[in-house]
Amino acid sequence: MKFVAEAASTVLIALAVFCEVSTAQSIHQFACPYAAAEKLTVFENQTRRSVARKGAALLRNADDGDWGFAQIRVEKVVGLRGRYRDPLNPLNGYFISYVHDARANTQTSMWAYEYGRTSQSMVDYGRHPAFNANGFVQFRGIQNSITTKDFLFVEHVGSVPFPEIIRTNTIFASPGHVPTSFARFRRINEQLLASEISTQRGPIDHDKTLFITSSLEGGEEMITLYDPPYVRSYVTGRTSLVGRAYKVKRGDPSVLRAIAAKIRTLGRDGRVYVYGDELRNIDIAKIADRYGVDIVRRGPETNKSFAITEQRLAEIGARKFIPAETVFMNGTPRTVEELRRFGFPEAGLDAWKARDAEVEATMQDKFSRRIENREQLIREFQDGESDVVVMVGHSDGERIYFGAESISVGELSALSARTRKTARPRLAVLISCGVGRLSKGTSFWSWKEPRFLGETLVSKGFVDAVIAPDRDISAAEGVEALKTLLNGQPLSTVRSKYPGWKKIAQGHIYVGRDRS
Amino acid sequence: MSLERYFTNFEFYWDRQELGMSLQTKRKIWTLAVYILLSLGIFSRQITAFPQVQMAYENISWSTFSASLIIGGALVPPVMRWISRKVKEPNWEHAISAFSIGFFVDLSSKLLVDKVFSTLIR
Repeated sequence: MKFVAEAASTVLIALAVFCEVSTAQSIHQFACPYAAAEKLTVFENQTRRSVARKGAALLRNADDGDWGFAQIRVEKVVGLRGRYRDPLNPLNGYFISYVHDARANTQTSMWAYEYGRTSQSMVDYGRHPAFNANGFVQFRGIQNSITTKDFLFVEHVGSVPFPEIIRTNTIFASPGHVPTSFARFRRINEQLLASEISTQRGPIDHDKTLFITSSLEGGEEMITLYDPPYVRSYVTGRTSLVGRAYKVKRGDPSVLRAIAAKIRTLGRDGRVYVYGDELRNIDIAKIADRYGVDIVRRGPETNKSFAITEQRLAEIGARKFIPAETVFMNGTPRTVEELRRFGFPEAGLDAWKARDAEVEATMQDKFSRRIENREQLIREFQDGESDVVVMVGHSDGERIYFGAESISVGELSALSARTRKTARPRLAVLISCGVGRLSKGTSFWSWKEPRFLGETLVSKGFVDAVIAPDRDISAAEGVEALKTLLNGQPLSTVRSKYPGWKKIAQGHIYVGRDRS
Repeated sequence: MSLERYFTNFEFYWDRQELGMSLQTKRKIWTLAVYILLSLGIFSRQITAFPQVQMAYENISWSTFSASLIIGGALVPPVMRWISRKVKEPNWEHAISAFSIGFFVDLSSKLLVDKVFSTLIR
């Protein structure tokens, strides 16, 4: 009996404590500002140097209005029980250190939510005297400053409630994914913004489109994934890009998983735009091909509206292949003189002749006009209206050779760009080594890194899209790729056997598809 | 065939058809290697007191070296092209042949020079 009574009283006490705790939680509307200020001081001391260093790196040589850097950490702050601290019932506090100019001036503040729930009202603790006394600022002030920036880079620990922090285009990153140098990263993301992704209603189906920027600087590879729904700020009314940055290290599966997860959601008629530098530690095309998602590549030197590109690519993807609208240039060497001009061994003449016959057989009845010389090639690019231009020839990176003629990429670059779009979007298929590479845009004094052929044709507006390899290829590979494309197979089929074939500024391209 | 092509085209990798520069670069590297081996052969002959099997550094002579280089340079290309017809990829046969041509051309030119010079003096 005594035992039962003792057990019962223990249970009752436990129940009472539980009720009291539960009741106590429901009355903990706020976090203790003095405790928060104490913790924020510790946070600021711990992070001051790293925040200043990263902020200065981000903003070096940038205009003050361009970028801001913030480090956010979620910390438990004791709750308030009446006027007293209740350490048993902490609430989430969001600590922020914010760098807003190139002099690395830092502002620190904190915000939290009533009852610790993000669905409740936000509380700006920077308004409390305990914060002002320690030199902390109001969180609202930081939000207003962020609104004036083009971009905000946020390094965060813990889950951050988006609506409070997104006042402009925002890139989030976890610790370990913050770049050491920001110059290239900044430039490429700014160019993406300037390329009219058009978050408003337009030709881009944002539910099926993923934008990825890629930057390579000092051996460090960074990607940023932007995906809809883009956030519309209820405060500013602006629609902002929201992305997540990753540092890409060879053999790191987490980044691969993140990209795969995003690409998978696009569906088989989705599209990924990869804008920026070539990366070695990751092959995004391989991931896209695995899920049947189209991948469009654009070099960092190309500044064209994505909306217009998307519209043109959609037209290319939807139309039928018409031989009458196709022109062809065959630069496969056929004579000893041509082999000598290319610097090739003469003993291989018979093999080259056989390869030439293969190319001609592949293109038989697939074109209406042949390009024989430089003048015809230049006229075709500048004034032509054909749907498809197929070029087969040897390239040494600078020149492309066809028969007795050759033309350099420099000469094509010097031509005037087309100012008016062609009536129908145009596609170039380049069967030549390495012409699908993308330049980094490196410059030194008056020297600027030249573009490769594919990029040049797109940037000049001569064609809307290019299919080309980004490495050296054998003539056999070139012929097989050409056959595959003319048979209506997508480029991913070519890539499954021969990696490195690229689509530059291009969507679903089925060169030979008969959609009748 | 132009003069430049005579000295630079050794028909390396003649059976491969590639539309780019990496194979061309390989050919140029091998061509350069052949001339270096030729020079090495000449130099090796000069520092050996052939037919005695000992080193004789005092034998190094720039005039003989230059003459050997010119003669070897004229002989090496057709030999390399001939080997390449049978061996499509450059390998040890090309390398040894270049070295050997240098060695024996230098040897023969030295003997020739000595013979002619001594006859002229008499």
